[in-house]
Amino acid sequence: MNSAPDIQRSRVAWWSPWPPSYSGIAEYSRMLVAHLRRLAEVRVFVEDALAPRVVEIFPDAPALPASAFQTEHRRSPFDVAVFQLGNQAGHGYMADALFSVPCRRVSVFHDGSLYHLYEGVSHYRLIREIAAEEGWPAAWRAWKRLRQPGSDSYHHPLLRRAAGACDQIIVHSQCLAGRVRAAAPDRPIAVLPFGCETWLDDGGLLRRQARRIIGLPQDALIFGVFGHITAAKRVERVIEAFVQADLPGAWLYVVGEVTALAPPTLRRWATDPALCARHRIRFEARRRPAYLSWIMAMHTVDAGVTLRFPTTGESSAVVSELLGMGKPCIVSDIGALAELPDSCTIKVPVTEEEIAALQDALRRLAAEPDRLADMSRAARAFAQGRAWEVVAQAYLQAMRGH
Amino acid sequence: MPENHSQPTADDTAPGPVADLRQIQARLLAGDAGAAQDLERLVYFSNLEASVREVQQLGALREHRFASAWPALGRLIAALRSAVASLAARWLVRAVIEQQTAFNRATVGALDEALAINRHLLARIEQLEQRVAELQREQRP
Repeated sequence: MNSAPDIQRSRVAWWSPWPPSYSGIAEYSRMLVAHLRRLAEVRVFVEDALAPRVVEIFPDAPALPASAFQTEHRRSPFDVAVFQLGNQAGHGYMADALFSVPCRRVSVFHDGSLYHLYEGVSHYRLIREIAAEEGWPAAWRAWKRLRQPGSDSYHHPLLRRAAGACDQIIVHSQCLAGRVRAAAPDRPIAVLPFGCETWLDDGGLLRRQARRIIGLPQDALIFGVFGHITAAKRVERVIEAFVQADLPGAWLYVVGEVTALAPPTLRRWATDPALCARHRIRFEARRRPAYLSWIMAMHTVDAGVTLRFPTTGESSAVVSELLGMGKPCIVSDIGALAELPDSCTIKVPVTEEEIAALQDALRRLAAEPDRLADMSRAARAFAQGRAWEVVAQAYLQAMRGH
Repeated sequence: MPENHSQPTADDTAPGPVADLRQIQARLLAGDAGAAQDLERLVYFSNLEASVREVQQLGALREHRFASAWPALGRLIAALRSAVASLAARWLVRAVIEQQTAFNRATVGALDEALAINRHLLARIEQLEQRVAELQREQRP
């Protein structure tokens, strides 16, 4: 293992998806690196195929293809390599470097499974990794399941070898820390806040403009659901609860790409604007909306709803963004979401009572504007401690091994 | 009333959509009359511009480069695949790539044109809205 360097003004190799990659972690890196660059020299390494079309955010230090790492390291050695690990194929290019870069290795686990990361390299690599962690019988069963629909990600977290290769691990929740600790008990783990943009309280000025431009009613109470729509996001349950709650004057605004993993009941809502309109639901199932569209859509709402089951302990970038805008959230009482403070979130259980609890939460927020305002203030206060500059400082400490 | 937190300004934010929005928010707060129109433009065109950029970047097709993740034998397998493809299909693939790339370039051109026309029309609409507002003001007693 490599010893902790003095990171102050030292060289950091930042392995991460990067805009225009359609990835929450790419936007997370964009915001975080902007602040880290004030504290250290950061070079971003992206997938080779992405490098020619990468967005040059910092012209003085353009992002480099991963294959250029060794040359760059020989030219001027890096003190630390930071890997942003997500459970997506777009992170597959880090799979080998994670085990081989000749400097201190710090990995940020955004998910409690790396199944799709290895799958992004090749099926062979995935099966080899499962064999290395769980044995060949498990790998054989996984190989047979590869041909079936759905994801086997929850059955094969594949954390042990990746975590074991790190000098320092960073996670954003105690829940995920527990999972990673179970996989690699001897590795140091730092639990840092997931960063967010802290928006100025403008008294609803931007919200009014966003509603005007997007075409949502100015005087309505609007609940928002954002993000890629998969079965685990349980969006169909949010819709069911909203329809049953029948709140006069309230709207539900759903924005996100409906993926192949979304349940069929949800597709009915996504493809039937007339049905949505009857229930005061606006469903924008747009493919790959620009990041600005996401942000503007989030600004239109009064509160967010983010459910999750099952979970591997991942943090929700959407919830972080919404809290930073002063929008309280209704969240599942599970995993990383359960760790959010009660002052700015309402937790609903992932049980048979889920729909009833959701209805109750929606009704409470609709009936108690003062409570909504209090929660909004609490959300802003919570977000202050998670601002990007705060997270950048915490990263620096973790990279040093403090 | 808005709360005055000591919060970061647009200058503290990474260049990108969030910084753009922050700047417009600051202008809205300052009462800048043009801020709302600029925000409208930003929102209307962000998706279209992103799509045009994506099409531009992905439009030029390239031949597939064969690879294999098998250890030791990987390079040999990739070379064999490449050789077989070269003998059997490369001439055909190249012809298709050329046709598709030409089509993609034409599509990018059409999208660029549509984007330019949309910008022009939006500017005209804004001028007309301004003129209507002026006329309404003039008609008031």
